[in-house]
Amino acid sequence: MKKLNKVMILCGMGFGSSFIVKTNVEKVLKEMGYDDVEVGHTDVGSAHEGIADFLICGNDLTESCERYGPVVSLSNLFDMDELRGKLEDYLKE
Amino acid sequence: MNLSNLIKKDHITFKKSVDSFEDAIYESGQVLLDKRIIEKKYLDKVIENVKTIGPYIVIAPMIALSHARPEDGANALGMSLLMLEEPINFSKDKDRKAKAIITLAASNENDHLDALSQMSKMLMENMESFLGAKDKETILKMIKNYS
Repeated sequence: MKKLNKVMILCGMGFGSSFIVKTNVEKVLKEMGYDDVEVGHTDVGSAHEGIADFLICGNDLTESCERYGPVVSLSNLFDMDELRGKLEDYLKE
Repeated sequence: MNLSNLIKKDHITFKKSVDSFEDAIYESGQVLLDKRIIEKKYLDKVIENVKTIGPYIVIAPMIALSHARPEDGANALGMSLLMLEEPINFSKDKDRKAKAIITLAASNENDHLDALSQMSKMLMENMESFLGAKDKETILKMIKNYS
């Protein structure tokens, strides 16, 4: 499994959607054994390169986020199975 | 503030269909506009964002969260819901259809977080029943269970 310090969830406005995902991400990371990861959320406009080890966003924002780091994109912000699957795929080395 | 305080009976609208996603956004936000919770420019901004950034407000299949930043024209905290019988596509070239259009407005960065968490939990646990709801009472009941 990859080492992980910080994950950033990005959404269009930094206002709502990213917050929805934050709780889910914290849950899944804990399940995967990542106890000490910082999970932040903000809008794409406030992001910069190196802001986190990797980024999570809705799939319509993928292109905008890719310049800031590796991206895991979601088609359904409420789907825990999708989130779990994609995080597992990304984090296994 | 709780979800049930924000989405009251008069904040829920059922409609058969709309002609465009712009119409869906205006219809969904109308009650908040009437109550001066938002200005028209707030909804204009949501539409502008969809046109420039993409249909990112369709956060899950069939669910759109219409929102912009507080400074784009939100005067207070408010939420409203438009349920369409026929989903409308928010994209010209991808499948980004939504039948539930939720408008969210907040005048700062935090007031809406409780209600948003409650709404997320509700949708995650009842997605099918929510999307299949045919009347306000069903939705209000669901909301009450999560507030």
